[in-house]
Amino acid sequence: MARAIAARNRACYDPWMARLRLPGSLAARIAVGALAVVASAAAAAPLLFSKDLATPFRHREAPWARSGTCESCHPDHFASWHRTFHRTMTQEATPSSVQGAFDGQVVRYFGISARPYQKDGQFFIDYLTTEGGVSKTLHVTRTVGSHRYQQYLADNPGDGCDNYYRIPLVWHIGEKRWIHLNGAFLSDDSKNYNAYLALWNQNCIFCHNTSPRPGSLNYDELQARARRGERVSWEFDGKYESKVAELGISCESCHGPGGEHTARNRNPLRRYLLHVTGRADPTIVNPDRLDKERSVDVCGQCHGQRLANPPGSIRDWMHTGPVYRAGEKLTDSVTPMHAETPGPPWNPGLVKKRFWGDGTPRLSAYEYQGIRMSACYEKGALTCTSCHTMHGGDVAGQIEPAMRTNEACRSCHARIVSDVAAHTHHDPAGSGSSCYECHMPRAVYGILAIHRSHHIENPDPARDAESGRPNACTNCHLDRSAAWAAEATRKWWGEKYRLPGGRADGGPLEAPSLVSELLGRDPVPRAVAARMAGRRDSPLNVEARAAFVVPLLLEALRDDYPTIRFLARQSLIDVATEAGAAPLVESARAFDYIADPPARTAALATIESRWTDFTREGGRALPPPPAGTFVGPDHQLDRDAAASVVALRLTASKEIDVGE
Amino acid sequence: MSKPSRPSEPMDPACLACLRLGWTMIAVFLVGGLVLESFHFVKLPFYEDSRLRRELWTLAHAHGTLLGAINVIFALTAARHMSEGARRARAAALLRFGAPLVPVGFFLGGFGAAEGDPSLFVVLVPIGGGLCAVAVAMLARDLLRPRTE
Repeated sequence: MARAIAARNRACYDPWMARLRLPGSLAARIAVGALAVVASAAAAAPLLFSKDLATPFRHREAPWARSGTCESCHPDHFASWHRTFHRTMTQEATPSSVQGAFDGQVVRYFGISARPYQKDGQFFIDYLTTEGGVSKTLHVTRTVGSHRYQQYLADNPGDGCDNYYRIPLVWHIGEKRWIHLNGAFLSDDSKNYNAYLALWNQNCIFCHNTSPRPGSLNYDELQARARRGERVSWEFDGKYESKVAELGISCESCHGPGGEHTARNRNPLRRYLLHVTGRADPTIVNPDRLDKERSVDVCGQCHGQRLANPPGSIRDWMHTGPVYRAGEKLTDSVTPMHAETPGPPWNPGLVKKRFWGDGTPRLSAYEYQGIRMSACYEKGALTCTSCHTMHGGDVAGQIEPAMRTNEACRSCHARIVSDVAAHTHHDPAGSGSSCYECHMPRAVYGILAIHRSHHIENPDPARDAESGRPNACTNCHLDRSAAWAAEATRKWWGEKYRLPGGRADGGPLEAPSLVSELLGRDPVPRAVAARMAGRRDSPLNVEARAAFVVPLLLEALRDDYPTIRFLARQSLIDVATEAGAAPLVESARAFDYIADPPARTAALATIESRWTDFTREGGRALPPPPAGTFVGPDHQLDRDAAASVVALRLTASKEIDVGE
Repeated sequence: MSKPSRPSEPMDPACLACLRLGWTMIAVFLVGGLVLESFHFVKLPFYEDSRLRRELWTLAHAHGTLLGAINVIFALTAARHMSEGARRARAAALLRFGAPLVPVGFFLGGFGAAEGDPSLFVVLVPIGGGLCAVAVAMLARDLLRPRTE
């Protein structure tokens, strides 16, 4: 039966079916024809686009596209960028972007009471009179920042322009509380509530947005008034109609304007030609294809404080914005600031104070200057993207996990990394054998935190002591002096390292560096020391550390820079937690580093009392403090002995103001 | 228990081939769907990290299953309603040739794809899709044509 059916089926095949098995069948002919069309197009594409791809492209003249346009062709890169703090650097104020507690609770600083609240999905801050009435209401329309703290911008309806003012109240994301900007900048207590009220349009707009165009309406008029000797407030007299291609740092900040790139690549032949051949598309910048100088320039447009070049071009900046586009030579249009850069007439030393004595940057947003000073850049091939990746890694640092280890240095220093202990003379598993800890020590202040120096170099205790810099060795060996560190360096790495002639901060060379740095006159080393004092990876055990670090930190809580009090409080909490001193932790947590002086004094008295209790009844045998720390055998600071150092801080602590 | 009924007469071989291909495609691409789910389950980086590859392979799974079903429906419909044998065989051949090209094109398009564009294998998709469309149009035309009997 089956054979009969099979025979019938064979009989049913018509001649066309038989031909189907041959190449000449209809289906095959259609398929071959379609493939021939594709092949012809593929062959013609190189000829069609040869001129297009060979012609240098002028990015400055290209239109901007916005990130949403990029998403359709680059969904993975869009997604990896979308999660970053770059994207959320500036945002419209919406319930999803605003992190602060606009809950109607009154916040009071410098005697000014403010009440942040929201209504119908919009955000407002009422300023209150002493009687509790409302003297002024600000409409919060934009936010700046989303990582460590968030600042807020208010427009001013009726001012006839599009000015946005930065409000002095800031939401600290980690602490989940309102702080005053004075507690966010490196600045002392002597300011007033509006000291940092700023105009976004002429300041923040440049680094926190894509293609900023301030759109000044009266720059020339203000300049003329200033030339005539009239008093001009650039903050309050300036009027702007600002535009940006996109709020926040988006694709085009690093890849250049994408309008033409988008238009030309609507043609699939062009796209596939680029895919198949791997050729660069001249209409867009891929930082991975740039040479090292142009590559770091891309990041340096924001991560390297700079001035307009030539200086007169600031007028153009205030109207149409900076002219630099990714891929260009940055110094053609800006002058990166260095220690030698003169400050403004009213503060000639302003810029110099942002660098250590040897010219190394000591504040954040100077990473560009740091990396360009590094031998790894000058003699090697290091760029920002050697360690950082804009489309991967953790969101906070945008660094892949492996690049947070010594593996980051292996490509050039394989021999050292393979046997790191032979180079470091430290435990290979400890932080003493971390390339980062010694060659990029945490010695830079910025946005309420201490960051790694991006000037990659060898630690040199003599150089650091003489230029007033925190040193990688004594950052970790908290009980050791610059002289000790110099001796150890000479012993292990040779006579090329010399002994220090003195300390720039005037402190004794033989005393632990921590003391001179934490209690001295310069606020940046004070801030660094305040945070380094809390590190757990010091070779000392917690009892030995607590024995002298806690009394010093208690003194640091009296600092007149709120930021230093903040960092000292963090370290105190860390050390006390590690030591198991729960009451001390609790009292440190209750210390409001930006409260009015009487409240701080009362909170500090409680902390000191808890510390005294811990030293007497804590059940832990604290060893004697090291010599030279001004800490007595009772583990209390000897104020008389420390008076000479503390006096420097109290009388000359305004070395730097507003370091961000 | 009743015995399974036998067809009164054997199916036209062209339609039978469509039927076999249809069920085979349904089986293959349903299993393919399970494989894709397992990729999600184990978070396979090669699959998870490329949005375009995920989309293309999902399309391969969906189109393979759907076109398998279309082959089955075509076979059953054409066997009854396409009276002209040569025309029926031609339409069935177009469908059988075109249907696998679509999911295969999507699947291979996910290998070596640029971020925003599939690899060149994706040209198989419009070719296969065109062949299927012609086959289905031939069937529809026969169905719409007034019957003379």
